[in-house]
Amino acid sequence: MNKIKALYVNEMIKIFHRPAVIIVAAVALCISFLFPILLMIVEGPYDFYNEETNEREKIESSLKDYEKDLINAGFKTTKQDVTIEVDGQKKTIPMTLYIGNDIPNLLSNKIVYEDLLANYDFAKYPTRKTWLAHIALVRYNNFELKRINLEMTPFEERDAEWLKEYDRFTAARDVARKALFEHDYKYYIEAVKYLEQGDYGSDYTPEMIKRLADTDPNGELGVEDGYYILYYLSQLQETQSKLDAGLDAAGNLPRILTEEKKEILRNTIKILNYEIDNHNIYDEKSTVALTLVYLTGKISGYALLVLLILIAGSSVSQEMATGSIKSLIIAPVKRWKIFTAKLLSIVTCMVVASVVLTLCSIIGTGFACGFDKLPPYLYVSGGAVKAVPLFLGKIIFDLVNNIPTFFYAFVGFMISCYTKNTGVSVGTAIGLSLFHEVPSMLQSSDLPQRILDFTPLAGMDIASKLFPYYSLMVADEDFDMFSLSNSSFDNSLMFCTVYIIVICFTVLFIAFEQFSKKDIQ
Amino acid sequence: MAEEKQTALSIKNVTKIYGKKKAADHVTFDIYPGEIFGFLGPNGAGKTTVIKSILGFIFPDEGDVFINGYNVKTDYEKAMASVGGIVENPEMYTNLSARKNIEMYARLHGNIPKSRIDEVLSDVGLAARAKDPVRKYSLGMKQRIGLAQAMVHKPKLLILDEPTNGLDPTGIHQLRDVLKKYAHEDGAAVMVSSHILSEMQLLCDRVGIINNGKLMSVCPMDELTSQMNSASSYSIRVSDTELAEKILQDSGKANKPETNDDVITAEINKEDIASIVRLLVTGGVDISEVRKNESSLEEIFLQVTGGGIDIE
Repeated sequence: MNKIKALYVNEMIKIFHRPAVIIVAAVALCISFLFPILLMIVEGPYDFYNEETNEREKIESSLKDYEKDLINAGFKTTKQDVTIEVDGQKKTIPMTLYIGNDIPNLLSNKIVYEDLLANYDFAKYPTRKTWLAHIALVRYNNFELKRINLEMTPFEERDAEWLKEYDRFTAARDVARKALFEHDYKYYIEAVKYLEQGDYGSDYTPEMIKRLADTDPNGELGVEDGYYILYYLSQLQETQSKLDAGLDAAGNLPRILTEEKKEILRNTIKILNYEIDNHNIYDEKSTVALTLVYLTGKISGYALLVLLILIAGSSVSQEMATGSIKSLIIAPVKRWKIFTAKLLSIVTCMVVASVVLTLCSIIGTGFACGFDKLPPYLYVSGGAVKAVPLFLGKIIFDLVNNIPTFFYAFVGFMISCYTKNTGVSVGTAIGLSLFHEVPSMLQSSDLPQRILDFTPLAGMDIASKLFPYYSLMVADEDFDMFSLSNSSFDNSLMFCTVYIIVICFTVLFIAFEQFSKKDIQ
Repeated sequence: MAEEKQTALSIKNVTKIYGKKKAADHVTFDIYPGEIFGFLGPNGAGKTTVIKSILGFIFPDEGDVFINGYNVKTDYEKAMASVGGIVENPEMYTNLSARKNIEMYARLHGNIPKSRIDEVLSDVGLAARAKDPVRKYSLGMKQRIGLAQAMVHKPKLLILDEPTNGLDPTGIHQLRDVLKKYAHEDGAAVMVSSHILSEMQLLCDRVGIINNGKLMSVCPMDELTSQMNSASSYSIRVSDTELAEKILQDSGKANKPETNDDVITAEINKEDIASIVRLLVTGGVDISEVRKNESSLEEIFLQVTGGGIDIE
């Protein structure tokens, strides 16, 4: 053990004195630490909905633009009394016909904005700051647009059916306006009920709004907070429907849920409910912070890949090329010990680099967004939702998530032992790791699922299995570039672990054979 | 009797084959404590193959290497614990300082005090620049650092492949002194391969000569020197070279006579010189000078290996 320890110490000294390693490590650290800060500097505070601009002035300015655009669009109004037969009785109604090119949007905005300027109290419920005011305004405008669309219909084509639709959207517009002006979810839910099922979009079913209203009785929720709570509500709905059906989507194929999967879904629902009920933990800045941590992790992941492949891929070949391997061979240590020490030093670098880069990205994000805005990682234990600090959860998550990166570093190490050429080993390992993205790209194509199931490392996403609730933290999280978690194979955690151990062992065994049993010229 | 002495290095039937070529062909020899052994051979003769077999770089196809009584195959670490060496050029970690390089090597040998590292750095005259990165060193300085590294753990067997490469005359002289002291006073065995044959004459106690993978001869340097002296080359300045050459050929006592201007050169036994001079004078040839040409190990090497090959 003493010999291995001495060799290990030597290896670490050598690694930290290698200029290429120092440069790449410095770049990776800079990316991890500075990227979130620079992004915040370049992009400015992520406050589109919270900007302090005078809302009234902004609307007045927009209104002038709309009026000009309407004139340019040849907007004209014609009024006429139209007779329509309804339930066997003829009714004559004074009606308006709008004429012009592409005018409905301009006109609905103009009408709604004129109404706001005349009647709305921007100081009390700013539509760019309050979620309820924001969605009520959108809905008001939307119904007004639908109403105007109907008023583009020529007089002679207007019939009873038209009149029914016109009355429906007029009523819907009025109730949406009431929701905005009286700032009450009750009217908003009523307005949403006027929508057809297909018009809800993904987030706005009456049930979801009702749940949102329960968590925000006074309508004080911020715009982004509201958006994300609705996102969680949609996740909740989707999860519940999967659980109810006992089926999950796997690529293009339905998959029957295992008991293990059902448990994950049940826990997911608990976490989502926790997030919705305690929406203060995921306020707007927390979401931005999480997105930055995630984005930084993605980018520094590539730097980590290059760094580790450089360390592992040059470990043997560089010594062969410079001849410094001679002082190791002449020393009284068996080759397997040299190999072990090199491997241990590489593994140490993997763990240290992954942890340090994760910490840097979190610290950088903390500086950019505020450390109090870094939300915890949530999980379920003993039936209760529990939280660990983000840095701890993310460090462990990244260590697991970086397993494919570690694997390709081992591949670089193997090629290094085999070819004794640093350029070839580093280049090939990086090339292979990038090639790995091809199956991911293919997966989004229309290739048969069965082919994708047999792509290497498909369905071997251990991170998503060990951290099934991580994706709930970041909207649209797709784990990592190597992830093929949608494979219909859906291999168990045990299978994935064994698979990855076997391929890593195979690669390292080939490296060992090359290093320990071949002549060194 | 030699077999009964304890050997520092014992090579028995070491054979290494690359494709169809035998780089080492049943090479067998011993090196004893307190001696400097010269290992000679032309390019591609198999010197480095044998050295690499000793030091564990390559695995021989046949044969065994014993260092300090330990078989390299079965007791690798014990065997290598008492060896220090430089193979071809001394290659270091160039981004690290000389001291750091030696410290790293010393760490692999266990308990070597820092004072010993200072001592070897001082011995090779690099104490003042020990903190400089090796990439700033000249080849000669690298040789010295290589030597310091090889000796830091006081090995009982020191193997140096072309150690005088890049050294200036002073450096060569110092190296010779260090190695002689190390072998003759400290009792270590030193094996040196070099293409500078005059160095071998001045340095070695015994030499082994290898060609085409086969060990041609192993003998004490004294024996080689006397062999040199017994059949040496003489140059005789004469008045008539044609007549002198005829007389020498007729005498049967001079080999390979060659004429250059008024000088005739031939291989003549020391005891025949007087009679040759008498024959020339009697035959009417005036002699103005008789000079013995200094023979070298190179000539002996050519004799042993059959001649006609390029010496490195």
